Amino acid sequence: MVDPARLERIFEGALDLEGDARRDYLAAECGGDEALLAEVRSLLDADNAAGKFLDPPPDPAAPDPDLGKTVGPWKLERLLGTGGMGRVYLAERGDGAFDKQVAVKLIRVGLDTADVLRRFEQERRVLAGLEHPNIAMLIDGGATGEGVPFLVMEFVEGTPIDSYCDENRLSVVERLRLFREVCAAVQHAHRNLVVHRDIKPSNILVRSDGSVKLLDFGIAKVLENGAGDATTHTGTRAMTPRYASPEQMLEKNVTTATDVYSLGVVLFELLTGGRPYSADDLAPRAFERVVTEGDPTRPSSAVASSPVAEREGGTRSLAKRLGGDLDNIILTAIRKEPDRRYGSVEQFDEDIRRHLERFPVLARPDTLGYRATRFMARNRASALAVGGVVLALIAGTAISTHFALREARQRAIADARFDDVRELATTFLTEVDAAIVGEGKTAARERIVSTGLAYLDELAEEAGDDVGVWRDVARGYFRVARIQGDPKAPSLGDAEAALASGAKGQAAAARLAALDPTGIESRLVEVEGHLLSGDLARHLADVEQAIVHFRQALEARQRIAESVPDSDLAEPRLDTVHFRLGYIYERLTVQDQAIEQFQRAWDIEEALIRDHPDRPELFQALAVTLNSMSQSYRFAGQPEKALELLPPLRERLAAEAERHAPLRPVLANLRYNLGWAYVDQGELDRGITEIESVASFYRGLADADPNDTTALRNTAASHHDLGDLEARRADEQASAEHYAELLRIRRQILARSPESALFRSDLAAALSSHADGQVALGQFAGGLEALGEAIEVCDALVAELPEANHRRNAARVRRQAATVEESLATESPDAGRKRAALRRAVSLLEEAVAALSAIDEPSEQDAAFLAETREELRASRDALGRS
Amino acid sequence: MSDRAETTRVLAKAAGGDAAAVDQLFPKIYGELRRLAQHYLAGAGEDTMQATALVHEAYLKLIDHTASGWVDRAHFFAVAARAVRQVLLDHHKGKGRVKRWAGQQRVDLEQALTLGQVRDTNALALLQVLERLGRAHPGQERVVELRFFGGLTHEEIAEVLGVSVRTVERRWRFGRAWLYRELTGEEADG
Repeated sequence: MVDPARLERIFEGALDLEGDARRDYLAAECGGDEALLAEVRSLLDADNAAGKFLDPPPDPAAPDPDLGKTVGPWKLERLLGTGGMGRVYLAERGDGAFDKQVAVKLIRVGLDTADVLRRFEQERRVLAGLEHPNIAMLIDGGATGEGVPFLVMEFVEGTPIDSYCDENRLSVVERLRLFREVCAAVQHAHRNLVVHRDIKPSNILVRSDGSVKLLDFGIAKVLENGAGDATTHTGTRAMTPRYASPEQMLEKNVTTATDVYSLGVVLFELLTGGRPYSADDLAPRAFERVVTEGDPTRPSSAVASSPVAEREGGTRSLAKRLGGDLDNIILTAIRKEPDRRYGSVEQFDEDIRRHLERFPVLARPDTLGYRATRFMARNRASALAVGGVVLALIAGTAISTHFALREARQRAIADARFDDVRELATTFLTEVDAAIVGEGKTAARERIVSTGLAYLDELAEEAGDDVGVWRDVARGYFRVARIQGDPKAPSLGDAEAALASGAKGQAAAARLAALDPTGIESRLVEVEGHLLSGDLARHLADVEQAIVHFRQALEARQRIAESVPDSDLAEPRLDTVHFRLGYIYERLTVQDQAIEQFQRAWDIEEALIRDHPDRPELFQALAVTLNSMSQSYRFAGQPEKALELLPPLRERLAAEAERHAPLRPVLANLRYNLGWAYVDQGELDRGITEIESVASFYRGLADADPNDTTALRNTAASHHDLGDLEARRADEQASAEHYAELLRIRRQILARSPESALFRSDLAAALSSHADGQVALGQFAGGLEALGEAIEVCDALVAELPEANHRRNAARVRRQAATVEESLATESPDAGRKRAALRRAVSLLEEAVAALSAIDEPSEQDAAFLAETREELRASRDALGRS
Repeated sequence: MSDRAETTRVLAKAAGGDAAAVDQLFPKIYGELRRLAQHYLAGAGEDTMQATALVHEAYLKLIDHTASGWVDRAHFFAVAARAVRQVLLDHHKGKGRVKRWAGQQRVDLEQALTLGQVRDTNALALLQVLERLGRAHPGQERVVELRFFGGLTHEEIAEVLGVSVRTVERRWRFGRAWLYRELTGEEADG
């Protein structure tokens, strides 16, 4: 009996060999076992003879039903290729209007046609602006008569860049030069805010004249299934795993850094003939893990025998050629964390230029500190559920958990003055995700703090003289301190603990300063330390001390700006320091000082935007600065200045936001503030127009992504304000409609998380507003019905969570209902009905008094509210007695 | 929750490695495949139907494809591959005979599930030989099943089985050679 496993192993081993090599292999493997040898041989013979046995009927043999068809004006002439997303045909205009050949991509069934077309429409305007000699144009798109979506692209005849380089036996230098042309095309697209998302050799063609042409720009975005979210990994991603970045695999935000990564992999392959991660022996999931967690091979160690190696005089010689600069350049481009790669394709390209011209390159090998962090990331992520979160927080390492993504995003925002933005924005219109509001977030933060501190203490002990590690440690303590010191986080806001963590961070910063007194990174850490101390002091309401720290930060940051060229973008940026000072002066109501600081921040931001037009976050900073400045003007009693400032900013921001989606919420926020500024100035009509635009913006977001609860909540909040404002404008009908819409949305939100206490009390509030709207229209019955439901909702909340605010709400809606009953009584001509309404009002007020009396530790306001309600109850009883 | 959304959810669980979810999915797919096979037999002129096309049809019917990605899809087809095989096998055991539809010629399910290039090969013989392959070489049997009955690509099979694409390719070569030898009656030459 032949051992099946042995048979399989020998058979599989023989598949890679031929002729004598195979015969020798079989003889050696089978030893003298004739039966085994015969068995393997008969299988190998069968393998030879099997041909297409068991293959599905070959597609090409069958006539392609699409050939010869017309798609729009295009007639499909020839199949060019079959890809993951569908088939590509060579086509010509059937009407003979133009003598032009194009490539038509028919999208495989399985994607929703309407959805693809909608996204195509969204992208088309952007893509239409993408004219560049090295980029194949997207010409048209639509759906065939059968509802199959298609895209029409410029037809390019050429060879994929990898085959081209090999066929022409290009040297390393020639390959680099060719690659720079690719970079130039990608840069052009990035300047137009288009990310390719699927850069790979087969999308980079070299034509016979040696020029390169990039295909499928922006197409991936059109083809992606927008419904996917990070928790379920169900989104269809149009990407090629071999060239896909970690953030694509983790279904995180795709940015220009994603293209930097894919370009890096392409260059890696072009120069080595090998690959950064060997994928042959891995299942797709495992490959994903390796790309997101593993270390890539150094290019110089991945050199394979290939045409490029031959051209460079053998693998050893090529490896030597790649060691140093090119290793560093490529590894910088393919770092896992997008923000640790080259900041742009331009910088990547520039470094290649430097290398070609024998200037020192900017890419540096990873520091020990970074690698230590990554090592710990790998080994702890599994052991500690929150390890990833902590590391994402501290080292900027993104780990593949939903929560880590959230935290990482929050961290990024935090760096961009998240705290300040949050306080400035109105309660409703913040970008805080409703899903983590409440106890979940607090618990998570607490875990981050405790695990983070343990981790940092350990890292500090092992840091030795490593500058990179000390820098990570200092920054890590600062960040933990920020979380601990955040007074807005329930049950955290622990000032003493924050100060203790801050002190540890300062100690690490001091150590760093001693080790590396002149390094820019160390000096930036110092600035960060001052900012932290200032923020903590501010939280503790020690404003004087906060100003001292911010002034120190300002001085230190200014010194860096003066002595280190090109440090203007290094975080923390100088404008953010001015902003903090302005912010604290605004709180101190020293508005002239505040305005001066905001003005400085503004000037710096304008200069930065001039020098770096490709960085929307600068625009965001500018918008926040001007928002705050307008606030200061309003408090300074110069609302007209605020109104001078905001409208031009609105125009600029609107233009930028058109091209860059992340600025759109900033614009909405600005228009919201502008709206209220108009209202304050008595310009009700203008104010309403602004806030209407906010409502329709968030409505659009919510329609585009039905899972976006934040957008829905913001839509609801805008309708609430609009309802109030229309009431002020005495348009009761419009007001009632806004309240009705508010109610509809709140119901929709609650339907998703029926247990959420927050959403339930939101619903009660909406019912109360809706009742107001109805009553104003004279619809007492409708108003009372809404209030009846509001009472039910509030009572259920009190039963579950007997907290003071729920009791207050239960009392509030009852008082409102009582008022409506009294109005009803006044209007009712029938004496019996009048008495019935008054009786109901009395019992509602009795219940309200009971609810308020049940509050455990009533505040002064509670006491006043109770007294008021009792007074009303007495008046109602009197009215009932009189009737 | 609609039935389709429910099935999609179960599929996502199955794709995540939940064996109970697979058990829950199987009868659904099996039933749908049988129903579909009958439906196609009832349609005029449609007397042949590829097994893989049938599976694809079942997928579109049962799963909300806008809410499931390619990984889920692969897992669906993996379960369906086994179901198709079962439909065929039941047929041969006399349990799964397709009922005669009014006014229609009765057509064998076997005929309906015309098996690609094996059209000339007796389907029963293939099923029996495949079972024999499975006794000695279960890994190879599974790859053949997924590719032949489910129409999965090697990448999808790799995902479902959690092995490398190269391993899938080797197992496929082995399984195919083995079946070919058995079915063509080729004798060992040494």
